[in-house]
Amino acid sequence: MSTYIRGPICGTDNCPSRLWRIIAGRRTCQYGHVMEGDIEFNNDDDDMTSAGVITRRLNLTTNAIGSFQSSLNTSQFNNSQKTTRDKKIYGEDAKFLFLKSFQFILKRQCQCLIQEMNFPDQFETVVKCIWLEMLKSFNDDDNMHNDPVTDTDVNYSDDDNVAERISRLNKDASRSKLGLHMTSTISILYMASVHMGLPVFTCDFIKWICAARLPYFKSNKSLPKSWRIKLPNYYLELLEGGTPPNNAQYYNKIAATCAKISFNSKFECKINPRPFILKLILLTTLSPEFYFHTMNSIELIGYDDDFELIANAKTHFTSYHLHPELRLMSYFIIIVRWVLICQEERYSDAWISALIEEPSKTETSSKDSVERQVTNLFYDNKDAIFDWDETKTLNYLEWVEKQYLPNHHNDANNADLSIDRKIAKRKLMKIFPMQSGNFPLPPSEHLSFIDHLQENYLQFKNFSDNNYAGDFSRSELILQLEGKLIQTLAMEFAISVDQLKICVHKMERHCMTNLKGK
Amino acid sequence: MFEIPVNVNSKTLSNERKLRYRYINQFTRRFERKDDRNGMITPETSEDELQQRKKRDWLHVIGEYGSDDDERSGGQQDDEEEEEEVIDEDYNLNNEERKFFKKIDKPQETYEHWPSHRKKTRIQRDILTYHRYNKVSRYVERKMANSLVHVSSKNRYHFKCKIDGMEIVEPLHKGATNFQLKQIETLTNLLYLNVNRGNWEIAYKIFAMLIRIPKVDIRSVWNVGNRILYEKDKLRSLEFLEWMSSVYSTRVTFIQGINYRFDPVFRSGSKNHTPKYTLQWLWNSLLEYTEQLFENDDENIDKLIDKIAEMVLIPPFMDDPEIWFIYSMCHMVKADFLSSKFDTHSVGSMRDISMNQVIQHINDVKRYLNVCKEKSQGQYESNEMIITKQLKAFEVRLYKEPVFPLEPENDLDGDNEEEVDESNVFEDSANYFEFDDTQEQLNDLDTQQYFHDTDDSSSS
Repeated sequence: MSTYIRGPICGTDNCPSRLWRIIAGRRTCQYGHVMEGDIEFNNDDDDMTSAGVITRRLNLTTNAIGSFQSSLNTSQFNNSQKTTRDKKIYGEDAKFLFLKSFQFILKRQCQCLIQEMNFPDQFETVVKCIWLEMLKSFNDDDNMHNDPVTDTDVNYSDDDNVAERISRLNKDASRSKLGLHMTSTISILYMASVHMGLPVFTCDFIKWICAARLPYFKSNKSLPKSWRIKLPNYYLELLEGGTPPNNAQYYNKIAATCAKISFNSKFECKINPRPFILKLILLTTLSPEFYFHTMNSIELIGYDDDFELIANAKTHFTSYHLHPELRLMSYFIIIVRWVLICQEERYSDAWISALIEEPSKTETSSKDSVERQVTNLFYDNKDAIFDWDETKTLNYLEWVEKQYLPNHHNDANNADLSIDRKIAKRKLMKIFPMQSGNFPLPPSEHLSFIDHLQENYLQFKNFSDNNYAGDFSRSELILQLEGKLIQTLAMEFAISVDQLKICVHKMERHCMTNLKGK
Repeated sequence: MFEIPVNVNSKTLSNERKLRYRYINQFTRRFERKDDRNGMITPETSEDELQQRKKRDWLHVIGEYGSDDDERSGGQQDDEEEEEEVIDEDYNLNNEERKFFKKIDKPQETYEHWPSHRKKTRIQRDILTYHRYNKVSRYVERKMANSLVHVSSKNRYHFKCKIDGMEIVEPLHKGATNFQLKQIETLTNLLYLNVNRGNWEIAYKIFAMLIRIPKVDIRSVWNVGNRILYEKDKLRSLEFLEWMSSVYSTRVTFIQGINYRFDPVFRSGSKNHTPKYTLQWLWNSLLEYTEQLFENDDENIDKLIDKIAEMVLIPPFMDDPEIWFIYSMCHMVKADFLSSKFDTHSVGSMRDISMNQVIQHINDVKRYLNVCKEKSQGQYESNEMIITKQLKAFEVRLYKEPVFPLEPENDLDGDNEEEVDESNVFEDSANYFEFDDTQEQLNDLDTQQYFHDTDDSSSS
């Protein structure tokens, strides 16, 4: 029994049939009407006797309009499309285009910062200067590698291996020539803000990229289409963003970028410790006097520090405590510990335990807290999603709808689809409309940052008024508090807990030697 | 936590698979080869033997020939090496994974590794001694050394642990780290959590967002989506299922040799496997339209019958007993409806026409049930007893003597009678739908158990 194939409506004498089969070479509908003007393709090549018997069956499918199209045709169609689509450029041209795209993204980020985060207008100029320096260094690299024999010849005496080594060196050099990654963009932005003395730190940039407020992930989608078609895939992948930086990758990238353009000699590279310490205090809800404690002690112990950005081009750089922000953070943690040890009468056990206490779930939500919630998805290893209450879920969903979907679901993706699939997709969207209008919004209004902060402090105050009734001794409590501080800060600054612990340890030794020296 | 509806493809994972299947293939190859040698040696032809003896004699004369055993073992050694080379070449040419799955049958209806009825793998009756195992594994490890050189240290470590029968606590692929995958993962987790908690509104919202992310493959989550939509709007869920069955066609052939990333049981159909969303769609619409029918709206059920009549002409539906069963059930519902509406007062051609309609439907039910039985070959059983009883009841309605045939003024009573009849109908329909209902519930999310349960219910 020959099987039926679904096709266009027959239509002869109002025949409703859509099913066809082939009887004696003629396409005949379910009710026996013969299709007119139907041609069958014969694709068997009669000459190919040597390759055995190869038959090709014409698999018929229907397109969106309902008429037949053979699968063979689609494959041919695809092939012809492929040849037109493969416009990728390689080599030097591709590199040039990649730099152009990188610059494009950098510009978008700058504009976003200036327009939405109220950065000063000169910020763009500074970023431009740094980017020009970068370009210049790439150019220098290129010139240097044009005649590599001159510098490498001297170093190796072993004649047999010289050629091999040189070729390997060249290979290495050409591979790491650009050393650009999406983290380079935020490194440049950070360096520019350090130069201008803006109170913006790495944690801010990390939060912004994770919460999709700064164009970072999937930024290759925002490139002009003609560029995207031309760029080779490995460059596109670079611009995709991948994973948010973790384990102090961001700090290392900053150091590498600094080394590349010798930032410290050309720009202002000192970090102002005051706003940074303030930021730390706000992040950890400590009482404000710790700001003065820390500042005084830094002046006392860290008199030899000037908190400059470090420059280091090594890929495996582990002296994290040299990074100025981590240095300040370690100072802060050490000083909190020392103050708590020394001033027992002022900071009671209840006071400390209130700090350790997890902040209870508040019904309120600020924009800041939503962003932090999204950021924590990447850095918090615990499966926090299971503890999300309805408010948190709704907040997250709102974020996805407002920030994530518009950026990542644009028509550029649909452009590649065939018309059938486009229609199918549109139908599906009709079945599942978003219905954001008649959906219960998060109950509370969004709090401002200051209100949220006040609430945090109020909550802390309530806790600390109670008497402490736990089993832990004071030193244990202080240790716990320190652990919690380290965990919070490590998460905020995209560094692992162990790395931060090592930092603190090293800085503690440094402090001790400094104190002894006095 | 939950499987994300995206095809995750990482280099580490694919490398891991490559290593695993290469190891298994090498091992079996070696093991089976040894097996052959233990058997009887093929006897040589007398011609060969004669020539060899001649050669040996000559060697004896020259004095280069040592002991008999030496030569034989040396010859064998050569053979062995040659064979190995052949194997190596073979291995480089083919995909290891494909090779492995060629030996194993993975039926698409269940997609589990069972030595199936096809019996592609034979049962190993030989006892593998520890000594021989060691020998084989040492050989395979030596063979694997080359391919282990180029993989990452993490993969190597993982592989070595696996060989020794251990498992690393930290999985090779640490879930989603990528920005987009992370959002998809979070949404998926939230989706399942909220479905579990019964927050249908939120779940709907999450699902609507999830399918708008370009990478997401709806075939992995259609069941959840349908459930959510069912909660919101039954008719729209039917629309969705219809969309699924029209968009994801069944024209592809299922290839046994490929290890599909996702099991095709619920996800897709092929030329010999009816996709589950189509079955679900038919069952759901049958139920829904039956309800509509008894509210005197018979348009939809007719459409459904037409649709199935068309479907049943093309594969894979033409060979699926369940489709035929649904088809016959449609006719049964129709017969029930028409027979209950049958006016026993009517006379003449009107009476004949309506009577014929009912009888035709009843005949259709019987016919399609027979086809169902034919196609299923015992795999799909329906409770025929109940169905035939019901069919008889329908027929009886046609020949029931009108209560007051000659007194037209007692119209009210006649109406009453009819109402009683109708209630009977509902009971009846409830009776035979009880059976369908249980199936339906099973069908809803977990269609796999479906066959078992029908078997159970019919046997009990």
